[in-house]
Amino acid sequence: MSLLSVRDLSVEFATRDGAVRAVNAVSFELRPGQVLALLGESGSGKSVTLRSILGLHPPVRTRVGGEVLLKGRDVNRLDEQARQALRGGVVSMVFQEPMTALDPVYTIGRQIEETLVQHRGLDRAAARRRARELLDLVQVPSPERCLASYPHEISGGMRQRAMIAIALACEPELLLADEPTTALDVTVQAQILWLLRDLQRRLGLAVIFVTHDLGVAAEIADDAAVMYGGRIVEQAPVRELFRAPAHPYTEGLMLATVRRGQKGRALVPIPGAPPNLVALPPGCAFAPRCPHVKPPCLETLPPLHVVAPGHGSRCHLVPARFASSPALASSATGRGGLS
Amino acid sequence: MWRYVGRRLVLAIPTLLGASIIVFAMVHLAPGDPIAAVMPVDASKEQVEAVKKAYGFDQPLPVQYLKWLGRVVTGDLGKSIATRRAVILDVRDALANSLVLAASSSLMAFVAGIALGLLAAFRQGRALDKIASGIAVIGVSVPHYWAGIILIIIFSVQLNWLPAMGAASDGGVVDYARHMALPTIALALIPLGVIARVVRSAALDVLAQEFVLALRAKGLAHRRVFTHVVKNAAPQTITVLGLQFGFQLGGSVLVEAVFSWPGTGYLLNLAIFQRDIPVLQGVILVLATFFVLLNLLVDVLQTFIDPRIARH
Repeated sequence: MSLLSVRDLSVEFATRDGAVRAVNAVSFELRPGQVLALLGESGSGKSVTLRSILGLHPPVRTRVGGEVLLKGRDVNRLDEQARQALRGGVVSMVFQEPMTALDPVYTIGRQIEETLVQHRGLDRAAARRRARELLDLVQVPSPERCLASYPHEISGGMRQRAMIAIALACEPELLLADEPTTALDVTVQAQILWLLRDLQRRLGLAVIFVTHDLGVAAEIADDAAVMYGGRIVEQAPVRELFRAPAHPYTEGLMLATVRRGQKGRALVPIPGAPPNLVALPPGCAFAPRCPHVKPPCLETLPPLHVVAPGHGSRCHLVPARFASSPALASSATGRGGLS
Repeated sequence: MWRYVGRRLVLAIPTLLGASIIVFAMVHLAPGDPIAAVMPVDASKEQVEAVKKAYGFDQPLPVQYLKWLGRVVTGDLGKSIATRRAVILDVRDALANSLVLAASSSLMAFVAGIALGLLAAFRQGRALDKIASGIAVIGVSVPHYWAGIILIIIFSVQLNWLPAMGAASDGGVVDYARHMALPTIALALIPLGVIARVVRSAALDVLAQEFVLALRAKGLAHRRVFTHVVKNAAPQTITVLGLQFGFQLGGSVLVEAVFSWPGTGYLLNLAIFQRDIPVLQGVILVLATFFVLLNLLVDVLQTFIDPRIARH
């Protein structure tokens, strides 16, 4: 059984300028222990998708459609108490910027302990012991000092480790990592990335790793889903995605990224800007920036074409470009996820 | 932490000296001649000179200031020109009455203001927010002396429940409290509004921060998240509470006049109309000192709540 099953998820925020369609008919599945990278630029709906999994959207001015089934239970249909038990207990989240995601007036120790008190009902002494163990687990060099420190007193890397310790406090099965290395120094980024990969393997965690960095995705993920304009436009095993991208946006991302062993290759930027989520075009959201754009791209939404087993792309050009692929015979399932 | 407290104490001294200079200068800045105010209209020039000499008005200003300061620090605020009583005694009695009134009205304003502010913030944009914010706006907008008059008309004149004027007549606690009730309410209105608005915006600032989302993301119950928000909004709120308490001490001139409550405001009012400069100086100096000390207390309290402040 899948641990997480997102079906036809859509999220709309009412704003003064109109309804912002942040997430649009997003579907995917996650097995226990599987690592999925959610790729895309800012505003593509990655973070909003993560928040939907925790049911964290404010009740006012937000419309959530579709289903988020966590171990078979729809997060959106649970009462607040049941959701609180899921958050931190079954699914936890690591944020991009640990400085703003930690409470500045509570010590690191208190912030880890309160999570344990909430979910496990531990007394303070037991919670403190467990907090120490957790800091050991995330390889904080002097845990006692870290426990007594306020967030502003420790380095960015230590803060992110503390954040991870909080997330892992109650042994969740799914970790949502929202660009956890983006705000850190480059050297520290690698350390945190290795730490997350190591913890994922040791604890058998399922992880959804939001990033805009293809290199990071290649390092840590089994599968990758590329988001654009609130939709998943391509989804495939990571290697497959890198070897044979089947969506012009994915290709563009790769051409715009520095890669090892390609010294001298000029980086090619994707022209234009991401779409306005208030007024999405009727056709493919990427069409205005797409180098291969054809008339149907501007008119109808591309269906999901299966390029290869486990590899799908929402692009009208897939049948023409991958005509030789045998998997195409059974392609074009209008909606729904892969894997 | 204690070094910080010590440093703040030392820094309070120049502030107090500055206040004392202004208070001293008032005698010479105020229109009208205090001597003329006490002397009979037909007093001779010699008589005026003699009185001037007796009060030290014939000496150079810096000398007058230092002599005056020397007396002030030993608790001698001079004699009232109007009543000939030692100013320190008048000020002491008035201050006691004002402190009690300031304390009761502040308590009322703090409790109601904080409750309203938090309620509004946690129900932002909903009906309860609108109601709470409306009450806050009324609180800051309605002139408190007018509210005092209305209260007197309703509760003293029409309903005859509470006394309209003065402090206790027989010295009993119940009687004192009954006299205090209406001025307390009138005086609580403005700080209630101010505090409610400050608390609301402070809490909204905190609620908009990412760590609140992170706290919810780790499954904390609402009341625990609430505690986090309150603790983060507290430093800003405490600053305002301190200032408001200070204003209550000094800003109650009109309300004390309306209710004839024998506090510092009433005394100040009296002193102004009688051109009783020593009393005026004494009251202002004592109030300024209170204000400075209160600010100091607020700053120190903040460092205990938010560990980041002491480092700056």
